[in-house]
Amino acid sequence: MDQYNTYLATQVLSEGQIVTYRSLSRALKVHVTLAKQMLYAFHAKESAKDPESISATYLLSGVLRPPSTSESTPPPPATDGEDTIMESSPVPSSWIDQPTPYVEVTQVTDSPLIERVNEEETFADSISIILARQEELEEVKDQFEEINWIHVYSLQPATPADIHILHTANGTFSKNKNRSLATNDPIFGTIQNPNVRTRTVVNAVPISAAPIKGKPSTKSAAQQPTASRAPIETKPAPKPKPKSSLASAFAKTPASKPKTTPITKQPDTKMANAPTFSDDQDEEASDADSPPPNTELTSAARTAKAARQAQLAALIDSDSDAEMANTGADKTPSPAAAEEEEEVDAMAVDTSAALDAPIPKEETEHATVTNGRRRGKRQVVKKRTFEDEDGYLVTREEMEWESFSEDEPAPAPTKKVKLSAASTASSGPNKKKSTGAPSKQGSIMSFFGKK
Amino acid sequence: MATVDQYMRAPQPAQIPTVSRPESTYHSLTTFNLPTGGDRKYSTQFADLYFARLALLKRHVEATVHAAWKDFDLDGERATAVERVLDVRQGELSWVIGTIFMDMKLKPNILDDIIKEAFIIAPPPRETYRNGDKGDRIVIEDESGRLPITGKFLHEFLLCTGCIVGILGTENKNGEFEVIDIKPADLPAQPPRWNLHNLSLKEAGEKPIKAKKAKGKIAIVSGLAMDGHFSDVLLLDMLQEYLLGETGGAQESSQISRLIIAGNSFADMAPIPTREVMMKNGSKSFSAEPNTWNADPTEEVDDFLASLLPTLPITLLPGVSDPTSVSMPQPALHSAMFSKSRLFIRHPTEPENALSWFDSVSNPWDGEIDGWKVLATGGQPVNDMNKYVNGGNRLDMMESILRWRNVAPTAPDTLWTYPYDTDDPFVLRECPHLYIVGDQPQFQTRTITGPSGQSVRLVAVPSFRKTGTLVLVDGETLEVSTVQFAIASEHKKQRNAQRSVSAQNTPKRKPRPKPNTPKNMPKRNGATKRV
Repeated sequence: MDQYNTYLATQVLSEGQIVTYRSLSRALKVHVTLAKQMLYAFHAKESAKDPESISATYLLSGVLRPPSTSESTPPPPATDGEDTIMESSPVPSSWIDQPTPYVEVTQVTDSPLIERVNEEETFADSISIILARQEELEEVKDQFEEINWIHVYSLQPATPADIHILHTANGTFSKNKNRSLATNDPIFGTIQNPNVRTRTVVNAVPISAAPIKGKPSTKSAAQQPTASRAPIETKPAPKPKPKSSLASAFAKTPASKPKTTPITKQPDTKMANAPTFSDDQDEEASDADSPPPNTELTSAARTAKAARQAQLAALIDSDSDAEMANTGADKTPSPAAAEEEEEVDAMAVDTSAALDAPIPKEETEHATVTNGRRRGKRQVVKKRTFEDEDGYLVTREEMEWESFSEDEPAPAPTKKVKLSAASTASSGPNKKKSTGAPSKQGSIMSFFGKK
Repeated sequence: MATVDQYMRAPQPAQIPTVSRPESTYHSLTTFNLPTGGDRKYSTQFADLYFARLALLKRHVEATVHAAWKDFDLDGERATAVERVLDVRQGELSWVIGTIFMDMKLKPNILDDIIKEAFIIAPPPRETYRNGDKGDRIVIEDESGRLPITGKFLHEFLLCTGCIVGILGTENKNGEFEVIDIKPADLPAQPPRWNLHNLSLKEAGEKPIKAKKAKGKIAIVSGLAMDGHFSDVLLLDMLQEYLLGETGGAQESSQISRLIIAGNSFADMAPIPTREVMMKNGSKSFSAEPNTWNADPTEEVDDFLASLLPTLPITLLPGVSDPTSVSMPQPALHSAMFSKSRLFIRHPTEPENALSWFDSVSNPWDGEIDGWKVLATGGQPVNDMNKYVNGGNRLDMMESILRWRNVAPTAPDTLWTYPYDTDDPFVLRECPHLYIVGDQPQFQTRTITGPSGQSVRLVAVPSFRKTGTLVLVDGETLEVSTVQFAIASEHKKQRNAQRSVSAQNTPKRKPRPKPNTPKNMPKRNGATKRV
């Protein structure tokens, strides 16, 4: 409880930092109300010792008094003030507080036009929230007719010349604020919303093995009509596209694979029905934290499979080029974005040609080289076949990220290389046998699930 | 607990109750969504839009006009209806229905654009298309042809290109139509409250509700204008903290059940730079250059939204400076831009009736919030219309837009528009209860009523970055209040500026005898109730 004195003394007095009630509440994990009181108490204590040593800013809320212009027609209770509004400048809240007699208001606009504004239409009940420095406080208080609340906004060693610098204090925790806000809201006093809804379908296909047994879950059934309205479905019969990103990826990767490579693969077992607040970076980091079960796959088997997949790829129209272009607005198309599109894409593919058991395919790699070991993550396309409600066999392709590590540095990675600090921390080669059986398959759920 | 000194005392650790928000009943419509993929065609002519609009609206105008003018009698002469514009006979008192077109000297012109590129001294950008009424011509047109209109009453009516009206008068010897009166179609039928909600309940096999109270308030903001520089962002911080309920008065902000962002979340991210910007930069290409792409604004907006979303559902409309298409209707801002907020958007494979907690929607947009039919735009139609009007009140323009039943009347003439061929989705089919227009110079509100008991709350929302205004609309009563954010040092400057301006302008003011009839309003059937 009293640690705030130490914390504030260090931050404000010694290090000369700005501390806002928000940054204090995040740092000490206390309710913002308590943080405001702490700032107040600390400020009172320190300014009693040395008023020069510390400066505060305050946030006030209430109803502003109308501006004191004296000329007036008989005003309604407690108001006067026909005033002129500059169009290009804010309407002062004080303006809005009061009913006023109808007057012709001349507007000074940045256009040569003069607007006629009926004053009553700018009227509404209004409260104002004003941020004031310590030395402005009394003056600002005078402007208020009624103050609803007032609290210390921030403490700093000296009055800031540019008050906008206060934002930097908020910026210090803003990098991870989303995560902390989401998980720890009630502690900080953020308003809760019981109705919050996030994506239930983060991954298009459920992870469980149920679909493979010929009984697709209700969720995947529900998705099918949605998938059918995807633009890609309206296109005519699939054509082989030698230049599609999928096919080219398949062609390249086997060549770059050294023989007898131990692969660490991380199956995904979490189903993120619950809202998760992690973004992609979080995900990568958390991937690295947990030691995953690993699998080994011989290169011979892989090249054989890759060859078969190259054939399959020819059968499958992967308009991924066009689809990916949609996400091009993002600077670096994040895996999740790409996967979304791929999902729609993959779901559109319903061919009985691919009845094989799921086969992993390599798509892209994000790798880093440390201490002679090559570690990273790569995106893999896997196939799953199952019987749907109507008895049709449905084959789906899923994109999946798996981490791996190899003994020697590989040649230049494929086109989408992203050096990720998080991926360097991926786990060591714990070996576990796997032939890519369906139950071992993961999915993009791994991106959103908490580890 | 809610005393002024609640926060100004020594820390007292106590169990502070958690505050939560009321539910926002929400249904989003896709009226203004463009066709996707290959169905989106830009090869059709814009003229089709005018034909479609006239065909859709003519019978409605006819009904209104017939009721109003069938007994119109001028010196013993009865007014008659004329089917087509070119059938008007000289000297006969008659009425005709058509599309207004305003031929104005200062309107954008493709030839002007070429002049600008070829010569160094370019004409300045237009704040208005009005040229002191010199050389501006107003005509009414339909499929048959055009008829110039004139008359000393004409200036009493608010008109702009593209509105469909009925005009009453006679043709004079110059071949011009002397106008006595002008009538729009007036407000369309208004759906009952909870209409969409009940429809969706019916679909789900549940019982429709008769009366439900909405407890929350709808917060509306426009012009957050984030530029990724993080300068002057303290107002945004204050807004964010207020909405999260972390500033004082959490009880008060916990009443907010939904946030609508009505355009211009980005400061300057429109994909096509204006001609003026291009001239300045010396760039000859319209396309965005990938090497100069700056992701900071996107991240700033994403962070802002993502911090609010766990506690507040958001409807996001694009505006004129946002990175989406520049032509109306603007498609929703793409979810790929919001890597953190995206989690709250409905997944493409989820059923379409699933609620999007974060709803990135088109501009204009319509839907139902707390049972009220809502129509919202990022402000372009009204701002463009303002250029046609000699000093109009923005609320008058908003009112006219609804009475003309046309959400974007100046499209496609001076407002960039998708070339619809068979339909005009801007034609208003249902009267909203709440009409929100973003990017306006100042906050204004008014309630208008229609001939068959419709009642619409108009709200003009100013830019937050310029005014610090957050508008709150009560979900039950549609009463409007505002929250003003300000920083004391800057606030003081503004107040002083206003005082000096007001001192200068004092002599110009004169009391207005009758408050209820601004001169430039279209005459209308329904009375206007001001609240």
